[in-house]
Amino acid sequence: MCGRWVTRPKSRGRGNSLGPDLTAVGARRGAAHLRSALLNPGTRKIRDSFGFTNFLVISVVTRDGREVRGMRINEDTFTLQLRDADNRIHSFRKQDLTELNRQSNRSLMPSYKTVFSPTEIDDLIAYLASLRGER
Amino acid sequence: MRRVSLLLSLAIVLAPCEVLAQVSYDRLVAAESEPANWLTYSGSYRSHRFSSLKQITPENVARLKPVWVYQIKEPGLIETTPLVADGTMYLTEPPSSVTALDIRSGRRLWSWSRSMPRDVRALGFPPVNRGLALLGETVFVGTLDTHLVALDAKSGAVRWDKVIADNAAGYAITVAPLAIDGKVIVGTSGGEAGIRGFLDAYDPKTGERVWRFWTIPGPDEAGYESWSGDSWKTGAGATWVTGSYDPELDLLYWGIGNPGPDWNGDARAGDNLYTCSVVAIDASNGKLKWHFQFTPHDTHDWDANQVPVLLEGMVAGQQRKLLATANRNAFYYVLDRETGEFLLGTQYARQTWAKALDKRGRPIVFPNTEPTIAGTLAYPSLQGATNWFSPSYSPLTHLFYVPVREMGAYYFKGEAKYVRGTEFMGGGEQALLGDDPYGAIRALDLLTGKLKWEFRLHSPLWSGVLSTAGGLVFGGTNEGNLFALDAESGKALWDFQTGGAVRSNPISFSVDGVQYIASAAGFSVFVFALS
Repeated sequence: MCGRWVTRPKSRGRGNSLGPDLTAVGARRGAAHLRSALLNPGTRKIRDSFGFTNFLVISVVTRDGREVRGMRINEDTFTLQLRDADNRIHSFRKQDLTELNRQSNRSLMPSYKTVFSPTEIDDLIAYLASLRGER
Repeated sequence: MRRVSLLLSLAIVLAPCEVLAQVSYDRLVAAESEPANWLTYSGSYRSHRFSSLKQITPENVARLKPVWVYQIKEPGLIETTPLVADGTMYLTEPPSSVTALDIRSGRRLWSWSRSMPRDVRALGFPPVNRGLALLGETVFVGTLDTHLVALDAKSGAVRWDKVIADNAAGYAITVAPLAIDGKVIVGTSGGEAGIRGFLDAYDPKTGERVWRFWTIPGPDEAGYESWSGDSWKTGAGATWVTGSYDPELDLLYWGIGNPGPDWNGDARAGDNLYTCSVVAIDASNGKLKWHFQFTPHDTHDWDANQVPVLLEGMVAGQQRKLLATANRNAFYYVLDRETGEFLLGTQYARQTWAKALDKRGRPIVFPNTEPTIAGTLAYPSLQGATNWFSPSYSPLTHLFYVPVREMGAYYFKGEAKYVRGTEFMGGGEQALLGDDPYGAIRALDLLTGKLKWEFRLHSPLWSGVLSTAGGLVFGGTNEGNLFALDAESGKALWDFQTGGAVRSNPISFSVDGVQYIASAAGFSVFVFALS
């Protein structure tokens, strides 16, 4: 398989933390779910134990005009922590933002529909489905 | 010998007031006049949760810093409102322990714990305790296994210990008792266990019961006809949040919880009095003076266990004694507290179950809003538009500050078979989780209920609010923020990340001329002052 990941989620202790740990993704998700996630990322919502959307993409604009788009790490009434596509962490006071847009149907991961061939997609899904965690 | 006596007398006169102080009934009646202390659950019998201290203001609140932090002995949810009297802070720890702290240092002076039986029941709620009462030199606390205990305020020694109900049947005590003249008032939890609820008064010296008011009327009592068959026997009506008291009228005002079973009302046809009501009880004998039912025949678990706020106001050109409350069912009410007359009812949060309130305050309910086997979507959620945590009223702004939960839920109906000592709920709920639900602090005009301002929170909260003469409203969030808002505008002026969810009610007190703000959060109690 050609290595054209924009970013690589963590698997078996390698990769970065921009996305779910894939070490045992095959035990948690079926092939249909994996295909949907690869071809149409952002359309399936994954929620944490409190019901909040995991991996929510948020774009913000600071008072000095700086734009940042990233995945929500944490949020409260007064602050927001984001991880951008380069795996950099940004921390904001909400009162210092002029814009805060939640992109609930978007993902930092691009669609692989046009990146990989159908055969490569099938191979990738088969590989991910084989990840069952450390034995 | 005479010289020794003289020295002893002199020593007593010169001793710090802390040593001799007693929290007399007169002090409790006048609690608002000594803001250095926080003598009773809601700050006063009127339950304004308002402090007349004004050292901390919108101009300087940004300088608020932690002074000390007390960490509880065993992890658990802290819903306590601390009390402060004469140099000592008293608080409860989960499940039913009491700790006394030196107010200046936060160091422990004494603690008391009751070891819980292994099979202690907390059916339908977490094992929490919301606080205690002070009267004379005694601290009163209720326990999860339904003991009412009197402790010596100076040492924590047990003065008496009475079992008031049977925990094996689902009864428990999580409420902070209320001490009045010659009586300690205490209620019970267990609304999800098919108990028959009550409110009790006990002699503070002996622990003997003075009276009991059953919240579910029995045969030959008024209101019995609002229950079909024998459903009154398991009708619930718990009394798990501290009420208020008018010493002039000698009336107690107490919110009553949901009927049982919660979500299946088939076997309890009728209005199900006095569930989901506020009752006015003659404190001398425990007799019902009047009642007002917010949600007749409730099937959504919308307990009326909110703190009733007592105040005076001009209505239709007449000065009247009022009771204001924001109910779990999403309506704000103002009643005449002498008669129970409905004066005002208006929606303060999203609701989808009632078209309106009629001229007597009874809801006009939309059809098809009851729980079903497939699930019925309704707002507010089971947890309500607000819940047990306290509102606040500022006599300076004339605003009623209410912590709001904006969340809906699917309500499911299920079978309901009563088995003693087990959950008796007849269904369930699936809250609409996600990023859409939110919390808010809303400031309502006292007499019209109109929204003056809103401060929006990241998620539906579990914390009460405190307003102060300094012009601030303090509150907390699930995400661990303690915050201060401008009482006039709702603008956020200060926040502090405690690292743990806030599920408590803030208080204020002063020591040596310095104003403090205190609140529980996570597994700790935080105390703040200006730096």
